Amino acid sequence: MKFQWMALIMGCGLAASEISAATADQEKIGNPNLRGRVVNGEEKPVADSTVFIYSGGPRAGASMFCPTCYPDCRKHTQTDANGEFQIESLDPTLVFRLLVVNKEYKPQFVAKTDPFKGPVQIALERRKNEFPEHQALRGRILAPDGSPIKRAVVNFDFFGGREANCGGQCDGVDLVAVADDEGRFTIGAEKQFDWMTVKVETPGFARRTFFQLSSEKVHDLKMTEGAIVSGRVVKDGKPVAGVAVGLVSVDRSENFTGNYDTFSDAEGQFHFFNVPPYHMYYAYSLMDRSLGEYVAPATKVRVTADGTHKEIGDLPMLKGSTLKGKIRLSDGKPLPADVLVSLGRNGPWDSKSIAVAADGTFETRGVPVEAYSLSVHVPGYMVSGRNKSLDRLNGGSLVGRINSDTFVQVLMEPGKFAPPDFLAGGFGPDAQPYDKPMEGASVAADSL
Amino acid sequence: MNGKFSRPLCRWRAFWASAFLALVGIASNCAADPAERWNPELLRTVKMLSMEELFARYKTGFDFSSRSQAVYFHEIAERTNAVDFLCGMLRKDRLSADTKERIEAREKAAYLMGKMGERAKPGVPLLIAALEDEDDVRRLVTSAFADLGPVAIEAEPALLEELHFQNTQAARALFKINPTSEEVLSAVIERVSDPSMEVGFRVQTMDAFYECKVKSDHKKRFLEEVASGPTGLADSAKRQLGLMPSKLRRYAPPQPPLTNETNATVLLERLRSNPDDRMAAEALTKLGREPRAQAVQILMDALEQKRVRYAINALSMLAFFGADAKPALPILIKFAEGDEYGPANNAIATIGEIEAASNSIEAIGEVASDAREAKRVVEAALRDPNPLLRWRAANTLCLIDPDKLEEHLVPLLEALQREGADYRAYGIRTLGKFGIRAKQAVPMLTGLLESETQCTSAADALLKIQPDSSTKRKVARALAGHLKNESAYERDSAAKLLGEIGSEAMEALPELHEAARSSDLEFANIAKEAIEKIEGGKKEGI
Repeated sequence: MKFQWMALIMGCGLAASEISAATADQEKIGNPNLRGRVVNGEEKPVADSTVFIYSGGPRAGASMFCPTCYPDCRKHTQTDANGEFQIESLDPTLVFRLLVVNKEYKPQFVAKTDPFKGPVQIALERRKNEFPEHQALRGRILAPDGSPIKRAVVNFDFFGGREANCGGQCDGVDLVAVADDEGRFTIGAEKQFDWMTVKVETPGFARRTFFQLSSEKVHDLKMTEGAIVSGRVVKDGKPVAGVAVGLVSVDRSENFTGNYDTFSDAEGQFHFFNVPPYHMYYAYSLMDRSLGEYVAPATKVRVTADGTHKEIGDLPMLKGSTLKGKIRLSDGKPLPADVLVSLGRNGPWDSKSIAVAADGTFETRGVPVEAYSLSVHVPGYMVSGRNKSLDRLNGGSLVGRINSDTFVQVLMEPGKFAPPDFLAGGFGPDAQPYDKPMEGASVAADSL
Repeated sequence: MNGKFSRPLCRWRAFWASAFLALVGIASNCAADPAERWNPELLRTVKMLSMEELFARYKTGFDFSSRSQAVYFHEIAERTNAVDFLCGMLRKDRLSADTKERIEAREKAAYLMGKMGERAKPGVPLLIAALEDEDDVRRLVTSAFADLGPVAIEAEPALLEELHFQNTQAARALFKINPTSEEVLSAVIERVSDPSMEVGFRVQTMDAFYECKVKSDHKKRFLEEVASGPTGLADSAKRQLGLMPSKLRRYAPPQPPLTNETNATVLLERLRSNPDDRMAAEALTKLGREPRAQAVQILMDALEQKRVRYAINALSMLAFFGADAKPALPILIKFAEGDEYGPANNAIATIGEIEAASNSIEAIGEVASDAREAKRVVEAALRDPNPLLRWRAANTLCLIDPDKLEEHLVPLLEALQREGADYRAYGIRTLGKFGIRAKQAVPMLTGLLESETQCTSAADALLKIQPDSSTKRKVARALAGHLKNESAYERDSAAKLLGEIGSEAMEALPELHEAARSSDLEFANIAKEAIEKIEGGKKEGI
């Protein structure tokens, strides 16, 4: 489970930076709006349906990034009385998978939706409102005073017991439900289950996970306002405006509360609202949207009760290190074109993509003193075990600290990483050497 | 009902408690320096080490498994500057980058602070501040609060907040610090009932209710409510209510060997190819002297060549062969003197079994020499820092040197005084094997008849040491009051023992009849059997 999370974390961070890298192109092309219409089987408009950008993918080529982690994936809207909808300002480099939800109809996915190809028409299939026993989770989303919250988004996370034991994107279960005017929601499933875990988000309240809710009763799920986290971005003691600041929970287990991004204002101030309470967070500036080579390293923030205001003080921008490196193939063959190196921060929800030159060299500046994972994808090759900082549990990346200007030679060899026998154990303390300086293969490997 | 029985016991307790305290005093004086006899060279060395060096050599928590680590631990605890030093190690240096080594040092400091008892009080504010440290440090800080108990009362508000942070150790620490607090109980119940708390946290927090001693029925009502629910929490609640059968907590008679194989060649080959095959070893004990001797040799070779998965098992298996395992004494001595507590404990136990079976002190030649050396090693273990090993050594001496039973019982009873020791119930129960010669244990055992956790163990031993009518009736009264104990094991054992007492347990019949109507069917059946035995005994005039 932990390793799956790590993959997700990596992907999401990288996705954000990919967006950033495409900023110049976006300015030329513009950010398209996605328009469409939702109808029923008789081609009549279906009002009050919720249309989500569920996942995304690059317009051309394959992506190694998490498809549900692009910033656009948080966008959703309601259909009007004519069944029409519009989602604005999307990433022009992506095509999307939509999810349309309406309690009277079966949830409908729409693959490869391209905003540039004009309005999309989506037909929904009506479904029965009665679910057999143990095949639906029912509840109400409530504010702290007990009043219903309408339009709250209830995301399926996991269900278990009876015929079910699946989490994430499972077949035969509504992945999302939207609360109605009385705050009621139903998540239906084709399989019988005993319990379901859901994550609820709605504007003005903190995201909240509700674990193992029984299929035998109707649940009242109370949201809370969360806490406020504020701070000030400074460089040499002076406030800095326009810096992207991130906040993400330290805990990446089932309690993960997701990440939050904002920008510092003219006084360098930043605020995060409705932050889920009683969690430790990392606060940091994003590498690609900071101030040249200056970045704010992650600082830990302890957020306590709902309604509290955590003032973390100054978040200083410090000059980051330079990371240089070279990708080498052990069989001496040249690198294919368009290879990217992904550098992901270990704690913060942040990473950047670095282009690799034809001779295998790469370089990036503004790398804060922290622990990282550095991954490379060359088709047909794997990261060699000769790289000292290889993540020996997952393969695919080097892990370690970058404490100063660093050079890393990444040796790749033909083949596919074979996961270790996790049951046998015996990986030793350095299987994931995040606390050691990042090192690639020794210079001797150069002669290979 | 308790009031009816408590008065005579009070008088007994007052008399015997003073006698027992005198006994413990003698034992304490004998063990002035617990590490004195084990590896004196190491003891001299540690005295020369600085606090920094001691701290660096000590491995967190290993004092329970390693004798040398116990010596380091003991020496750290003895130093007058220990708490100041540990506070310094626990303090996080915010000006320099954290490293794995620094984090581990803070974990170690937190762990050791928890073992300092009252002396650690000045360090409690620093421990509270460390609840904002890395998760691994927080975990050990929270455990330290549990170890400190009421000394750490100042940490209660911070720990109540830690419950919201889903700190899985927080509830246990809170109950250890303030076990009778209704406020703490309510706070813990609120968190366990909150569906936005992760299930792992809630399940682990449920287990902390064992430490809650609130007098009201608030805890019981909550457990009953959870026990009727469908979630994973229900099992924990059922266990605590004694509604779920559990091998660990139910009375279970000894099981016969699980193999019917009787061919010596086959069994020896099985043991040779897998020296951890306990069933083969047990089956071989039923065969003739030659295969038994061969089995002992196989186990010895496997221990020497480190071919066993767990040495402790092979060491225990040697005991099955009684006097035939005498050739194994040298290797048993080696393990008994070794650094690891587990193998040392089992080796000493096996020495006891072998010597008791063979009365080898009278033996001649090499064997007699080995036996004398074994006895010396066992005597040295009487002064080990680890109470389990001290108990084991005393118990072994009682077995191998029965002529001096009264003398050896002094440290044995001293070791059994230790509250909360996990060997205690077993140790108390097995005192009965010494029979009427263990009379000096009677005061302690009589006092323990009122114990919530040790009553049936003490009763079992008392019935064997002093099996007269007066003792039986006294024990029966105590056991009758014990039939409503929270623990299923204690309830089962009490009912079973009442049946064994027979007609002299007549006074317990009302309580047994009530027990026979219990919703805990296993317990109800044991109670019915006891009633039959008591009433049957009466009819037969026993």
